[in-house]
Amino acid sequence: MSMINRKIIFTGPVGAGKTTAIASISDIKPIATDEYASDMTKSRKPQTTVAMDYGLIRLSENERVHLYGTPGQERFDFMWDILTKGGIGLILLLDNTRHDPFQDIRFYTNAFRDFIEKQQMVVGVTRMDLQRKPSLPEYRHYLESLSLQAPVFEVDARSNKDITMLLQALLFSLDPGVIS
Amino acid sequence: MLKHSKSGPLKVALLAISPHNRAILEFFFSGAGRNLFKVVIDTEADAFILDYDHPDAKEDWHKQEALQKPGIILSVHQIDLPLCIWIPKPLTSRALTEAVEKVQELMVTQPALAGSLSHPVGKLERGDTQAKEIVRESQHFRDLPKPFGIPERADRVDKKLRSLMISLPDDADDEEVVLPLVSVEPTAPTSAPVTVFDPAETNIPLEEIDRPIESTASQAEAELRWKTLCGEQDDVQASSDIALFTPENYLLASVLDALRQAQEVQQTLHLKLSAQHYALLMPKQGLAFCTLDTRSEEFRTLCNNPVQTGQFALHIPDAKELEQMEPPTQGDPNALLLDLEAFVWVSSLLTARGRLGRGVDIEQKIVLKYWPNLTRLEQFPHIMRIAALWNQRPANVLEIAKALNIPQRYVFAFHTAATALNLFEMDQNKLNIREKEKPKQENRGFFSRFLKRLLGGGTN
Repeated sequence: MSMINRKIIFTGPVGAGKTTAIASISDIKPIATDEYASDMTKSRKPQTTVAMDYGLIRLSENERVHLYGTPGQERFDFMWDILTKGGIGLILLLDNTRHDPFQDIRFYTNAFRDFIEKQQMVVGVTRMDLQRKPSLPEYRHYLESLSLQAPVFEVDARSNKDITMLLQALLFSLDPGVIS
Repeated sequence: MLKHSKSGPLKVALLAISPHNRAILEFFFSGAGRNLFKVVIDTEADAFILDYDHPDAKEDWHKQEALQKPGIILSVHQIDLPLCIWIPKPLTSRALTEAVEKVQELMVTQPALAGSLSHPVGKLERGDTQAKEIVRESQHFRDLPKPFGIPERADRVDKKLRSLMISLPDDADDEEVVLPLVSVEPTAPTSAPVTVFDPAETNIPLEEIDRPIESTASQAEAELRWKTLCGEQDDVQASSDIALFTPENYLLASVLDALRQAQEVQQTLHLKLSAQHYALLMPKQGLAFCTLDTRSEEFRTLCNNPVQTGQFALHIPDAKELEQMEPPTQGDPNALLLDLEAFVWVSSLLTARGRLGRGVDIEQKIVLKYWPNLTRLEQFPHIMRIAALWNQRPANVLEIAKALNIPQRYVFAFHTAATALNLFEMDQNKLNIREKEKPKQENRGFFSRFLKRLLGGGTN
């Protein structure tokens, strides 16, 4: 039986919690880009370059959901083209303590606009416990001003429950008729 | 599909590239761009790629004497340097392809370059004019505003971090299983050999996570709560049979009034619930502080029972009054602090108990303009499906229940609570169908299994 692979992409600025979010739902210990090579030099094991965070959810022997996290601060469109190929949806994580989260929304939704229009985006706002503004209604209105429709949830990237909710919202947005 | 380079991949050295960016470029060069570029050490390179936004760009520029070779400059700002091709960020594969062709044209049309390429870097003399140009450009670099997301200049120790690396599992046998897509030569003599790979496409052993099961309420407890929030009414056949409630007769009306006033004046508003209890609505923080636990029987009773005249009172407390308010003597005060929308949401549900508010036009098609913040609101069955469908398709309450084949009381509960939060588009001129292409049937099975897995039910 052939392997069925699907892909979900996590994007957002540095510190928004992409690596943590993937770790909170992945079946495997995620491969992360934010490990420092200086720490790695202590290891004698072979080392491999990765350009993205990576996690995996196994549904069955022959069904897998791959979780990719884009590097946060980069401006490499082609990387995103590669990552989104075959993807079913985008999770945009925003750090509410950043200077201008709306600028982040503009940047990432612009970079992924084609993919968002074709598939679906869900927005998770992290660190709202530290900084309440912008509020969720402000996020909703801002997305609307960009002609974007997406669920916006407050999330703790460490919470399996919260990230699971994001994924559920993604799946139901793609197909409200799906049942578990 | 990317074009093949006419004369094989261009040998490039990567200068002033952050570990992340380097990993990304190597990822690209090992896959779709493998016919365009080959990363080599500086002395073997025919050209260089330099990230001009990197804090070390100027230093690397000088150290490598890179001006002796054609270069590709990556930057968010336009950069005009001799013998260099500027590629604006964000980078695209097309821009990189075109840059290769331009660099190769430069190598053909610039005789001096052709000479330089056959000599080791450092043997060539740099003319005064060119040196001045470097100084000028260096000044230009310092004066540039910091681009979005670019870190401040880091300690030079970081310079050694030539790429991002991960450790593979400890088992020696596992190491042999690693199947890199492409091996890339090291870019510095001190660097370890580097492999580039896409984890999804390699058969490497990955460490499983033994995730502890989060403690959740029992199924019986959850079902009891759903009955409290959404009632137990059976479905009705005709809209005239739908159970209604009059919001003005309940606490909900005072909560909504308090919310409206608080948002208008953007000040904390005090809502007296009883002689002992109160709620503070804080619109600036988007929080509510309620001295009654919203899951308590006392709060449920308060929401369920019709009010008596003057039972609740609203006012805007001054700073002194706020200071003097004593926190509850029992329990954790932080547990009584909740999201403002969550407070309105649960008050609505407890009041409505699966009924619709009197005055609701049952036949009216509406659309969910904004999703509720479901991670911080009380849940009940089918809530995600209701939100998703109503977000995509204008429909009335009965149509939603029928389309999803779910009990009507859950749709009525959702309608009441989402209306209280002003999440619906009621303007009949603004109702748009937002459904994308019809969901593919082959995806539905996969999504169902994925959903089941997410909800902890396994997939079999």
